[in-house]
Amino acid sequence: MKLNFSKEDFNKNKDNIMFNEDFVKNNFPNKRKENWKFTDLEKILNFKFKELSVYNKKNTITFNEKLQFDHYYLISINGNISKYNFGNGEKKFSSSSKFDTKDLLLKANKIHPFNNFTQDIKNDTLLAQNIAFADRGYNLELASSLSKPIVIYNIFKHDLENKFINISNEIKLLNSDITVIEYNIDYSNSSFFRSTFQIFDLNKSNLNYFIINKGSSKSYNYVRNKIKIDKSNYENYIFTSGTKFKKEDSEISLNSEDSSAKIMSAVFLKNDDHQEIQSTIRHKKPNCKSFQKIKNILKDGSKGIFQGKVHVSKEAQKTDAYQISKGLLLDQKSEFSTKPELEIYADDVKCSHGSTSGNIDEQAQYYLMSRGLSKKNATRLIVKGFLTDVISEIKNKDLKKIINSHLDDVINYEN
Amino acid sequence: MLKIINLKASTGGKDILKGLNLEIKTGEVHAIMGPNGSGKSTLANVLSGKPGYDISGEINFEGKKLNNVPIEERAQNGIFLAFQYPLEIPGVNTSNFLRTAINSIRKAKGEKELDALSFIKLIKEKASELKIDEKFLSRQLNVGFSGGEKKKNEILQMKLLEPKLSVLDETDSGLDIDALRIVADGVNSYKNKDNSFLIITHYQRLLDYIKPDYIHVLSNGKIIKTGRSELGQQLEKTGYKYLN
Repeated sequence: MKLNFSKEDFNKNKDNIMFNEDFVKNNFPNKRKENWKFTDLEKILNFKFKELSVYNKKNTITFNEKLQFDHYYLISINGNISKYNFGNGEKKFSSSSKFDTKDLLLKANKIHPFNNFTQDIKNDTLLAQNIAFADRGYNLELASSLSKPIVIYNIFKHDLENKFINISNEIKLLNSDITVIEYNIDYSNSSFFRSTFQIFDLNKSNLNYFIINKGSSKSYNYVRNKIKIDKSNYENYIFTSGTKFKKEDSEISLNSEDSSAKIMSAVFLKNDDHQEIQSTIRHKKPNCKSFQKIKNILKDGSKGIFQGKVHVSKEAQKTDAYQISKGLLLDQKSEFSTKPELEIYADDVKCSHGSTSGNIDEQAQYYLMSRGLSKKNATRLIVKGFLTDVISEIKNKDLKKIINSHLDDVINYEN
Repeated sequence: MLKIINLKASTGGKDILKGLNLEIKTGEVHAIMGPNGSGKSTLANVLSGKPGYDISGEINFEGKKLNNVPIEERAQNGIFLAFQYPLEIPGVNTSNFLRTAINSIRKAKGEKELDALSFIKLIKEKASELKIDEKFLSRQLNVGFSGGEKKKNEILQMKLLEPKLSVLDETDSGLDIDALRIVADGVNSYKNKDNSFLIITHYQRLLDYIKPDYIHVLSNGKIIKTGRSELGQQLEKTGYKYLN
């Protein structure tokens, strides 16, 4: 696979960065790397794309399919913020956009948020590429709570075939309690590769971060999250059914006492979709909690993967860490792989993990059918039931409704 | 309503029903008793269409051959099986399931589906008749239900789905005296001249509450004796041995 870009595509600050064009061009990670053992990106991209060209267009859009509940929003088109509404009507976003409150800052990223991590670049082509090419994304800073959730309408449109889109985002919270919903809608009907690097910096804050897909997407997505948690609680809910390929890597640091991190996911994979969630949660201080629940339903030769590592440092006594991953396989062709890892250096902790995968319970199917339900409807009920304990963790009623209907769409469309 | 002629059923190479004949007319209540392993549950399963059995002979329901009718169509046509061991289905909301079930059957009959409000009204009424706490309806289907709650839930489903033929497979097992009475009252209040029952039980106890028109003794895959309700009392005293 050939990677096309011009000198102009390089970010201005690339002089600070120790990499060269050849490195950026080559070497997508492959299964020889431990974190990529279930997802050979090199092979996957080579199989799909003959070439990828760096996408550098910036577009605006009128978007009228907003969710029916009270919220603020950003509209992003192909990764580029185009409009926003924080309660004073919809406004066009520009680098000089002003906000009524000094507690809120929204700007385009000038400096790549991962700039401080450039020492990692040597072994990390994806990071090097993102730093080299990321020309879009947002920087959101909040120093107080918002009364409404923020929806980020993440829209992809126009011809993106064989394009390589690089996005970098940053969310910084101080004394803030917010809910963010990344709502992905892909109208492009194209196969493209999207690489997103994000930093979440939480200080005395609560962040509930939801990722929901509307409809399906032929795109290939890689997301890297670096999440720093200080006296804060982070909750991540992943509902990305319908994406052809996705790998979401999260590196979470619980940096001060009484903090928590949660990753919950419920997805239905089909049509040889491939999705991986990989997390590393570092318990650095005492009395922190982490909780992970990953549920995959798999069909049509799809692949679901969860690699979850929990690292408890010597200092982190009274850590409470739990992870469970479950796969429900609807046919013989599909696969669910998990690799749980616990690395514990403290001696007074509660850490556990579990993983199961299995087929649909035929006795349950029979029971439901004996009440007049067709096999299809019986299967739907069981499949939805399998995902229910993830949905029941959602506290916001509006969101629960939206996600329920999202999952109903996904489940009722298939099988 | 139901006519079974020379029914044979085997599973995993093992013959269980070995030529069973039974006729249940509309409005009748029949009870089947018999020792463990005689084929009582197999008969119930085969009537409901449970997969995994090799069948020969004929089952006729309302004049139509039932042998190859799919499970859900049997339910839609009016056959109901109250399970001996109702399944726990995690994540499936009881009320949501009941609504899907009743609407599947209504739809098959060409009736209008119940909207949420009419359904809630109906389900509350039926649940209170069986002294089922409304809270159960919002719980996951049978998950963590006690034995008695599960059986009451079966009878609730029967009353909601209004079958023509109800097969109760050891519905009395695991019930305390109060629950037994509630379940029996539930059955009795539903019983009328247009529907029929096949009650499978080990004990006369249930039949003290629900009076059968006929009692059959099933042994080794065949009905070996048929009598009126006195037969049950006699069996209670003497056991099955004297029949052999």
